Amino acid sequence: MPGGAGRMLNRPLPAPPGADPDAALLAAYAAGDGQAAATLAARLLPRGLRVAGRLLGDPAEAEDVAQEAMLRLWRAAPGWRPDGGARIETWVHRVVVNLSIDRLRRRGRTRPLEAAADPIDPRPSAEAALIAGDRAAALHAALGRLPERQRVAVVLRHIEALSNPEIAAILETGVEAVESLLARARRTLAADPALRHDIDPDEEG
Amino acid sequence: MIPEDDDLRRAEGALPADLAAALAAARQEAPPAVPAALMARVLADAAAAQPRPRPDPAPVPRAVPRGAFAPGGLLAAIGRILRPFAGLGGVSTAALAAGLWVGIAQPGAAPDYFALIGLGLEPELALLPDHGGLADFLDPEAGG
Repeated sequence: MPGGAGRMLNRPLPAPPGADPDAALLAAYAAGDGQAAATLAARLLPRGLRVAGRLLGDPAEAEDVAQEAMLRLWRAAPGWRPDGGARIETWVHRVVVNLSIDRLRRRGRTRPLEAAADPIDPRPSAEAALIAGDRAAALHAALGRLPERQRVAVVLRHIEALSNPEIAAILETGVEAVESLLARARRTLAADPALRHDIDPDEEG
Repeated sequence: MIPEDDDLRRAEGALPADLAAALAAARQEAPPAVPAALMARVLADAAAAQPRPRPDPAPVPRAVPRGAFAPGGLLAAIGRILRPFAGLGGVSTAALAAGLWVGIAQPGAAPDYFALIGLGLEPELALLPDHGGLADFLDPEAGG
Protein backbone atom coordinates (compact mmCIF):
# COMPACT_ATOMS: atom_id res chain seq x y z
CA MET A 1 0.00 0.00 0.00
CA PRO A 2 2.15 2.86 -1.21
CA GLY A 3 -0.34 5.58 -0.30
CA GLY A 4 -0.47 7.59 2.85
CA ALA A 5 -3.11 5.46 4.54
CA GLY A 6 -0.58 2.83 5.58
CA ARG A 7 1.73 5.40 7.05
CA MET A 8 -1.18 6.93 8.94
CA LEU A 9 -2.13 3.58 10.39
CA ASN A 10 1.41 2.98 11.61
CA ARG A 11 1.82 6.43 13.09
CA PRO A 12 1.23 6.53 16.85
CA LEU A 13 -1.82 8.47 17.86
CA PRO A 14 -1.03 11.89 19.31
CA ALA A 15 -1.35 11.97 23.05
CA PRO A 16 -4.39 13.93 24.17
CA PRO A 17 -3.61 17.21 25.91
CA GLY A 18 -2.94 16.68 29.57
CA ALA A 19 -2.31 12.96 29.13
CA ASP A 20 -0.20 11.40 31.84
CA PRO A 21 3.19 10.50 30.34
CA ASP A 22 3.74 7.89 33.04
CA ALA A 23 0.49 6.05 32.42
CA ALA A 24 1.80 4.19 29.37
CA LEU A 25 4.88 3.14 31.30
CA LEU A 26 2.80 1.85 34.17
CA ALA A 27 0.55 -0.06 31.78
CA ALA A 28 3.64 -1.57 30.14
CA TYR A 29 4.94 -2.60 33.55
CA ALA A 30 1.62 -4.22 34.41
CA ALA A 31 1.78 -6.08 31.11
CA GLY A 32 5.13 -7.60 32.04
CA ASP A 33 7.65 -5.08 30.68
CA GLY A 34 10.52 -5.07 33.17
CA GLN A 35 12.28 -2.08 31.57
CA ALA A 36 9.21 0.08 32.18
CA ALA A 37 9.75 -0.23 35.94
CA ALA A 38 13.30 1.05 35.63
CA THR A 39 12.17 4.01 33.54
CA LEU A 40 9.37 4.87 35.94
CA ALA A 41 11.67 4.61 38.94
CA ALA A 42 14.21 6.88 37.26
CA ARG A 43 11.48 9.45 36.60
CA LEU A 44 9.65 9.36 39.93
CA LEU A 45 12.08 8.26 42.61
CA PRO A 46 14.44 11.29 42.76
CA ARG A 47 11.67 13.80 43.39
CA GLY A 48 9.84 11.50 45.78
CA LEU A 49 13.08 11.05 47.68
CA ARG A 50 13.66 14.81 47.82
CA VAL A 51 10.13 15.56 49.05
CA ALA A 52 10.42 12.89 51.74
CA GLY A 53 13.82 14.23 52.73
CA ARG A 54 12.50 17.80 53.00
CA LEU A 55 9.59 16.68 55.14
CA LEU A 56 11.40 14.20 57.35
CA GLY A 57 14.90 15.65 57.51
CA ASP A 58 16.32 12.15 57.74
CA PRO A 59 17.86 10.56 54.64
CA ALA A 60 17.37 6.99 55.84
CA GLU A 61 13.71 7.55 56.64
CA ALA A 62 13.26 9.39 53.36
CA GLU A 63 14.63 6.37 51.50
CA ASP A 64 12.23 4.06 53.31
CA VAL A 65 9.28 6.31 52.47
CA ALA A 66 10.28 6.66 48.81
CA GLN A 67 10.71 2.89 48.48
CA GLU A 68 7.35 2.23 50.13
CA ALA A 69 5.63 4.74 47.84
CA MET A 70 7.07 3.05 44.77
CA LEU A 71 6.08 -0.38 46.09
CA ARG A 72 2.51 0.83 46.45
CA LEU A 73 2.66 2.07 42.88
CA TRP A 74 3.81 -1.35 41.64
CA ARG A 75 0.99 -3.01 43.52
CA ALA A 76 -1.56 -0.55 42.17
CA ALA A 77 -0.38 -0.99 38.57
CA PRO A 78 -2.74 -3.82 37.48
CA GLY A 79 -5.83 -1.87 38.50
CA TRP A 80 -4.61 1.57 37.44
CA ARG A 81 -7.18 3.46 35.37
CA PRO A 82 -5.41 5.96 33.14
CA ASP A 83 -8.66 7.64 32.14
CA GLY A 84 -9.57 8.84 35.61
CA GLY A 85 -8.09 9.85 38.90
CA ALA A 86 -4.84 11.54 39.66
CA ARG A 87 -1.73 11.63 37.52
CA ILE A 88 0.80 9.05 38.55
CA GLU A 89 3.37 11.57 39.75
CA THR A 90 0.71 13.33 41.84
CA TRP A 91 -0.37 9.97 43.24
CA VAL A 92 3.22 9.10 44.23
CA HIS A 93 3.65 12.52 45.84
CA ARG A 94 0.46 11.97 47.80
CA VAL A 95 1.71 8.62 49.09
CA VAL A 96 5.09 10.12 49.98
CA VAL A 97 3.42 12.99 51.84
CA ASN A 98 1.01 10.74 53.73
CA LEU A 99 3.74 8.29 54.72
CA SER A 100 5.95 11.17 55.83
CA ILE A 101 3.18 12.70 57.93
CA ASP A 102 2.55 9.30 59.53
CA ARG A 103 6.21 9.05 60.46
CA LEU A 104 6.30 12.59 61.79
CA ARG A 105 3.31 11.87 63.99
CA ARG A 106 4.86 8.67 65.25
CA ARG A 107 8.04 10.51 66.02
CA GLY A 108 6.14 13.13 67.92
CA ARG A 109 8.17 15.88 66.32
CA THR A 110 5.19 17.86 65.20
CA ARG A 111 3.28 20.09 67.49
CA PRO A 112 -0.38 21.05 67.38
CA LEU A 113 -1.37 24.01 65.25
CA GLU A 114 -2.09 26.35 68.16
CA ALA A 115 1.40 25.79 69.52
CA ALA A 116 2.97 26.60 66.17
CA ALA A 117 2.25 30.32 66.53
CA ASP A 118 4.62 30.47 69.44
CA PRO A 119 7.63 28.45 68.40
CA ILE A 120 10.42 27.58 70.70
CA ASP A 121 13.00 30.32 70.38
CA PRO A 122 15.56 28.96 67.92
CA ARG A 123 17.73 32.05 67.85
CA PRO A 124 20.99 30.75 69.19
CA SER A 125 21.30 27.83 66.81
CA ALA A 126 19.57 29.62 63.92
CA GLU A 127 21.74 32.69 64.23
CA ALA A 128 24.80 30.55 64.22
CA ALA A 129 23.57 28.89 61.06
CA LEU A 130 22.96 32.22 59.39
CA ILE A 131 26.25 33.65 60.52
CA ALA A 132 27.88 30.66 58.94
CA GLY A 133 25.91 31.42 55.83
CA ASP A 134 23.97 28.23 56.11
CA ARG A 135 20.57 29.39 54.96
CA ALA A 136 19.62 25.86 54.10
CA ALA A 137 20.05 24.69 57.66
CA ALA A 138 18.10 27.70 58.94
CA LEU A 139 15.29 26.99 56.49
CA HIS A 140 15.25 23.34 57.43
CA ALA A 141 15.04 24.22 61.10
CA ALA A 142 12.23 26.69 60.47
CA LEU A 143 10.30 24.20 58.33
CA GLY A 144 10.61 21.66 61.12
CA ARG A 145 8.76 24.00 63.42
CA LEU A 146 5.77 24.34 61.14
CA PRO A 147 2.67 22.21 61.60
CA GLU A 148 2.91 19.26 59.28
CA ARG A 149 0.38 20.32 56.64
CA GLN A 150 1.81 23.81 56.48
CA ARG A 151 5.24 22.28 56.09
CA VAL A 152 3.98 20.08 53.27
CA ALA A 153 2.38 23.05 51.53
CA VAL A 154 5.54 25.14 51.74
CA VAL A 155 7.79 22.32 50.54
CA LEU A 156 5.54 21.48 47.60
CA ARG A 157 4.91 25.10 46.61
CA HIS A 158 8.14 26.92 47.34
CA ILE A 159 10.70 24.16 46.92
CA GLU A 160 9.10 21.73 44.47
CA ALA A 161 7.29 24.62 42.70
CA LEU A 162 4.08 22.68 42.27
CA SER A 163 0.95 24.66 41.54
CA ASN A 164 -1.74 25.18 44.14
CA PRO A 165 -4.19 22.83 42.33
CA GLU A 166 -1.51 20.12 42.27
CA ILE A 167 -0.90 20.58 45.98
CA ALA A 168 -4.64 20.47 46.59
CA ALA A 169 -4.78 17.14 44.75
CA ILE A 170 -1.90 15.76 46.81
CA LEU A 171 -3.40 16.92 50.10
CA GLU A 172 -6.87 15.91 48.92
CA THR A 173 -8.27 19.29 49.76
CA GLY A 174 -9.41 22.45 48.00
CA VAL A 175 -7.25 25.15 46.43
CA GLU A 176 -8.54 27.69 48.93
CA ALA A 177 -7.44 25.49 51.80
CA VAL A 178 -3.97 25.26 50.24
CA GLU A 179 -3.80 29.04 49.90
CA SER A 180 -4.81 29.37 53.53
CA LEU A 181 -2.15 26.87 54.62
CA LEU A 182 0.49 28.73 52.61
CA ALA A 183 -0.52 32.14 53.97
CA ARG A 184 -0.28 30.96 57.55
CA ALA A 185 3.01 29.20 56.88
CA ARG A 186 4.54 32.29 55.25
CA ARG A 187 3.51 34.44 58.18
CA THR A 188 5.08 31.98 60.60
CA LEU A 189 8.26 31.69 58.57
CA ALA A 190 8.50 35.44 58.06
CA ALA A 191 8.31 35.92 61.79
CA ASP A 192 10.89 33.23 62.47
CA PRO A 193 14.09 34.95 63.60
CA ALA A 194 16.13 32.09 62.24
CA LEU A 195 15.38 33.34 58.74
CA ARG A 196 15.78 37.10 59.28
CA HIS A 197 19.10 38.52 60.23
CA ASP A 198 17.68 42.04 59.90
CA ILE A 199 16.12 41.52 63.33
CA ASP A 200 18.24 42.17 66.30
CA PRO A 201 17.54 39.39 68.78
CA ASP A 202 18.03 41.77 71.66
CA GLU A 203 15.42 44.15 70.30
CA GLU A 204 13.12 41.31 69.49
CA GLY A 205 13.23 39.89 72.99
CA MET B 1 16.14 23.45 37.67
CA ILE B 2 12.48 23.82 38.51
CA PRO B 3 10.70 26.55 36.52
CA GLU B 4 9.22 29.30 38.61
CA ASP B 5 5.88 30.90 38.01
CA ASP B 6 4.86 34.50 38.47
CA ASP B 7 2.63 33.77 41.45
CA LEU B 8 5.52 32.12 43.24
CA ARG B 9 7.83 35.04 42.53
CA ARG B 10 5.18 37.48 43.72
CA ALA B 11 4.54 35.54 46.93
CA GLU B 12 8.22 35.33 47.74
CA GLY B 13 8.72 39.00 46.92
CA ALA B 14 6.66 39.82 49.97
CA LEU B 15 8.79 37.64 52.26
CA PRO B 16 11.86 38.73 54.19
CA ALA B 17 14.88 38.67 51.92
CA ASP B 18 16.67 35.90 53.76
CA LEU B 19 13.65 33.65 53.75
CA ALA B 20 13.01 34.26 50.05
CA ALA B 21 16.66 33.61 49.26
CA ALA B 22 16.65 30.41 51.30
CA LEU B 23 13.54 29.13 49.52
CA ALA B 24 14.94 30.02 46.09
CA ALA B 25 18.22 28.30 46.89
CA ALA B 26 16.41 25.16 48.05
CA ARG B 27 14.30 25.18 44.89
CA GLN B 28 17.34 25.39 42.65
CA GLU B 29 19.04 22.44 44.31
CA ALA B 30 19.23 19.44 42.05
CA PRO B 31 17.28 16.44 43.31
CA PRO B 32 19.53 14.16 45.30
CA ALA B 33 21.18 11.36 43.44
CA VAL B 34 19.27 8.18 44.16
CA PRO B 35 21.60 5.80 45.99
CA ALA B 36 22.28 2.70 43.94
CA ALA B 37 21.20 0.46 46.80
CA LEU B 38 17.83 2.22 47.01
CA MET B 39 17.27 1.92 43.26
CA ALA B 40 18.16 -1.76 43.47
CA ARG B 41 15.62 -2.29 46.26
CA VAL B 42 12.94 -0.43 44.34
CA LEU B 43 13.55 -2.48 41.19
CA ALA B 44 13.58 -5.70 43.20
CA ASP B 45 10.20 -4.71 44.63
CA ALA B 46 8.97 -3.99 41.11
CA ALA B 47 10.11 -7.39 39.87
CA ALA B 48 8.48 -9.16 42.82
CA ALA B 49 5.19 -7.28 42.46
CA GLN B 50 5.00 -7.43 38.67
CA PRO B 51 1.97 -9.37 37.48
CA ARG B 52 3.02 -12.52 35.67
CA PRO B 53 1.36 -13.13 32.32
CA ARG B 54 -0.82 -16.20 32.61
CA PRO B 55 0.67 -19.09 30.66
CA ASP B 56 -1.58 -21.11 28.40
CA PRO B 57 -3.02 -24.00 30.36
CA ALA B 58 -0.94 -27.12 29.81
CA PRO B 59 -2.79 -29.86 28.01
CA VAL B 60 -4.09 -32.46 30.42
CA PRO B 61 -2.61 -35.84 29.52
CA ARG B 62 -5.29 -38.39 28.84
CA ALA B 63 -5.19 -41.58 30.82
CA VAL B 64 -3.80 -44.38 28.74
CA PRO B 65 -6.22 -47.33 28.85
CA ARG B 66 -4.74 -50.62 29.82
CA GLY B 67 -5.62 -54.27 29.58
CA ALA B 68 -8.76 -55.10 27.61
CA PHE B 69 -9.41 -51.35 27.02
CA ALA B 70 -6.01 -50.69 25.54
CA PRO B 71 -5.95 -49.70 21.89
CA GLY B 72 -4.66 -53.14 20.91
CA GLY B 73 -6.62 -55.02 23.56
CA LEU B 74 -9.38 -57.59 23.51
CA LEU B 75 -12.28 -55.17 23.01
CA ALA B 76 -10.52 -53.58 20.09
CA ALA B 77 -10.10 -56.99 18.49
CA ILE B 78 -13.80 -57.76 19.00
CA GLY B 79 -14.67 -54.41 17.51
CA ARG B 80 -12.59 -55.15 14.46
CA ILE B 81 -14.33 -58.48 14.01
CA LEU B 82 -17.84 -57.01 14.34
CA ARG B 83 -17.21 -53.94 12.25
CA PRO B 84 -18.41 -55.51 8.97
CA PHE B 85 -21.75 -56.29 10.62
CA ALA B 86 -22.35 -52.80 11.83
CA GLY B 87 -24.91 -52.30 9.07
CA LEU B 88 -27.06 -55.10 10.47
CA GLY B 89 -27.88 -53.06 13.51
CA GLY B 90 -30.87 -51.42 11.85
CA VAL B 91 -32.25 -54.74 10.66
CA SER B 92 -31.92 -56.20 14.15
CA THR B 93 -33.74 -53.29 15.66
CA ALA B 94 -36.60 -53.58 13.17
CA ALA B 95 -36.96 -57.31 13.83
CA LEU B 96 -37.00 -56.74 17.54
CA ALA B 97 -39.72 -54.09 17.22
CA ALA B 98 -41.87 -56.36 15.01
CA GLY B 99 -41.61 -59.23 17.46
CA LEU B 100 -42.54 -56.96 20.30
CA TRP B 101 -45.62 -55.80 18.41
CA VAL B 102 -46.75 -59.36 17.69
CA GLY B 103 -46.39 -60.20 21.34
CA ILE B 104 -48.39 -57.35 22.83
CA ALA B 105 -50.97 -56.55 20.15
CA GLN B 106 -54.64 -57.33 21.00
CA PRO B 107 -56.11 -60.35 19.18
CA GLY B 108 -59.12 -58.29 18.03
CA ALA B 109 -56.86 -56.34 15.91
CA ALA B 110 -56.31 -59.40 13.71
CA PRO B 111 -58.52 -59.40 10.55
CA ASP B 112 -61.34 -61.92 10.17
CA TYR B 113 -59.87 -63.83 7.27
CA PHE B 114 -62.79 -66.34 7.13
CA ALA B 115 -65.36 -63.60 6.76
CA LEU B 116 -63.20 -62.02 4.20
CA ILE B 117 -63.25 -65.10 1.95
CA GLY B 118 -67.01 -65.70 2.53
CA LEU B 119 -66.91 -69.04 4.37
CA GLY B 120 -69.00 -67.79 7.26
CA LEU B 121 -66.83 -69.56 9.77
CA GLU B 122 -66.12 -68.00 13.08
CA PRO B 123 -62.44 -67.81 13.92
CA GLU B 124 -61.53 -69.53 17.13
CA LEU B 125 -58.78 -68.19 19.19
CA ALA B 126 -57.46 -69.73 22.31
CA LEU B 127 -54.38 -68.34 23.89
CA LEU B 128 -53.80 -71.63 25.70
CA PRO B 129 -55.35 -74.36 23.61
CA ASP B 130 -56.48 -77.31 25.65
CA HIS B 131 -53.89 -79.77 24.65
CA GLY B 132 -54.33 -82.91 26.64
CA GLY B 133 -50.66 -83.59 26.64
CA LEU B 134 -49.94 -80.52 28.65
CA ALA B 135 -52.71 -81.27 31.19
CA ASP B 136 -51.55 -84.83 31.50
CA PHE B 137 -48.09 -83.66 32.02
CA LEU B 138 -49.14 -81.31 34.79
CA ASP B 139 -51.61 -83.73 36.46
CA PRO B 140 -51.07 -87.38 35.29
CA GLU B 141 -53.76 -88.87 37.54
CA ALA B 142 -56.51 -86.56 36.35
CA GLY B 143 -55.64 -87.32 32.78
CA GLY B 144 -55.80 -91.10 33.33
